[in-house]
Amino acid sequence: MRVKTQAKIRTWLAYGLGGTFVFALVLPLIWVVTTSVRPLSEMTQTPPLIFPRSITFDAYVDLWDTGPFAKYFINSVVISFSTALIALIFSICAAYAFARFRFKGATLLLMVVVMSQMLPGSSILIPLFQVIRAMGLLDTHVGMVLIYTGFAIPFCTWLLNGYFRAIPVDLEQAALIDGCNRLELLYMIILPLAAPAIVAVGTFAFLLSWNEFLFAFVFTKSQALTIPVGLRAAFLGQYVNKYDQLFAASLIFSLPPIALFVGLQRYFVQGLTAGAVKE
Amino acid sequence: MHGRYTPFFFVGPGLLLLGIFFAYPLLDTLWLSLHRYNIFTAPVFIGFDNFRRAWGDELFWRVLANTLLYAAIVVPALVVLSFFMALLLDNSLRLIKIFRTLYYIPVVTSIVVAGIIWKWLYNSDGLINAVLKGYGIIGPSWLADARGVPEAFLGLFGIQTESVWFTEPAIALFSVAMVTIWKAAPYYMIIYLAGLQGIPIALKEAARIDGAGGWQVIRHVIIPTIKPYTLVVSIIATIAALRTFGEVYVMTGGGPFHRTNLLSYYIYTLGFKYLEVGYAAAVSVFLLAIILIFAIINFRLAGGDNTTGGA
Repeated sequence: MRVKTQAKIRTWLAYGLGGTFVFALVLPLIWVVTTSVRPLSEMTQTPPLIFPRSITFDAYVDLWDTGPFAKYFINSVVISFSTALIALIFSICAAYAFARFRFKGATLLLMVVVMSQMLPGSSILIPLFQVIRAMGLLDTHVGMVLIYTGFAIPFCTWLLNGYFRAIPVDLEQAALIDGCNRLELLYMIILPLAAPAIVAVGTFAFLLSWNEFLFAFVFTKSQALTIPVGLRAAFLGQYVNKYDQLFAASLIFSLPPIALFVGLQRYFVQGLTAGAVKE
Repeated sequence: MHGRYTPFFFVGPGLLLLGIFFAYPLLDTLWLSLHRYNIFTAPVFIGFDNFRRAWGDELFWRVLANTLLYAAIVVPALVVLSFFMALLLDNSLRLIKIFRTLYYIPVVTSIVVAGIIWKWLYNSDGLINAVLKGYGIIGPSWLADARGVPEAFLGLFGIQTESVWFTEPAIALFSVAMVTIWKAAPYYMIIYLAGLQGIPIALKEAARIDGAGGWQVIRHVIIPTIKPYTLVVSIIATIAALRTFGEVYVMTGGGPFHRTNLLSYYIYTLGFKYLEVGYAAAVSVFLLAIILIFAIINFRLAGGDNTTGGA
């Protein structure tokens, strides 16, 4: 009986504390939602009400019909999907090589891979700018995809490498004897087994380019401008008094990552943690 | 089992991109740190003058101090907070599973959006101060107040102080750090959660049978067992703190009086606002060196030295 009561108390404690944390973490985002549907008449109230008295979706309609938001949105989608796809292909190959082949310099290469993840973007901004300009890729989708892919690859490779390594080699040796070549082997044996890690890596690469700000800000002007840069400009400029539209845009921008995470959570966490700590 | 060049065929494409967009710019940064360069005229070799200049640059020291201070706030807070969040979520109650998902939302939210929201919340007539007002406290202008946190706190009780020991960290820096903590804690929580779920239940049960209470189990069983995770979390968090850029860029622009100016942001302004490309590169090299030290530690801890294996 006593044990039962204790368990009950523990459950309620977990709910209570957990709920408080949820409130603290998510409150700012609830704020975004309610402001985006707040009528203009309630906008300048002080102190601000968390929940508006009436609801309007004007901000969303205006946002989509007027102004450049739709274009930014499409740019972000195109660039992020391309990055995820290309980064996946390249890093699967690289990670497989690290996990299965012995070749000189493997340790050094992997070290570079890990290091590159730590690099602050602002420290290589100007040389990178000159590279992009020399290639004629300033303000292009291709340019942004290539940069993001380059930056996603190290982490993706690292994570996949850890995962591939855990797959028994025997399976592949059997297939090799049956006359498969390395690519077939990768495609037919490794990929299905490593599905969680691949989903995690794809999500990572997508999010990296979806949320990236600094490079997009410096290397794009109009053609390839993505949402974060557009939002930041809007925040300072044209929407300065249109908080409803700004927050509607922020919400639309935040939804794909949240949806991806909620939908793929299981894979994401599993894949993320598999590579992170090796005891 | 494989041809001599097969591995390079697999690694090649990724390596090519990494070379063009990462390795070359990085080497170029090293090279530029020894030059005077303003983008428009050719670089002039000046040896280590840029580094000497940093030595005498008061702003550089200010920014360095800010960065270390910021890491000193963010890292311990993240370690403790994410550990306890993970502890709380390490069970299979249904509602808790939903919480786990909700917790992660700040991590996948863009720093631009986070910055916009928090800047609004932090406003002198924003939500936070509206709530404080309810308790009779007049909140500061969070992101623009250069007073020290201890100084302001003592001020609440009517204590005025002139001591320099109470001037750090600035309220603005502290406020920026809070946003980082808000955004990053759930990420580290996930790493801890993986660690916690790896602890055999038998171990906890055994301790409990021996008469250990909840807190004692945490202190003598869980915390020691999970130490490798704590190391990894604190090092990743330190590296992330050292390279912080977005929070500063979106919310404060380094102000007030450079009190929230962090190294990564300083480098950006040097290079892009003042076109001091060579000097910016020298400061970058300095920052990279610090980060590299932590990266190497991290690399060792993650077991990256065991890299050859397989067929």
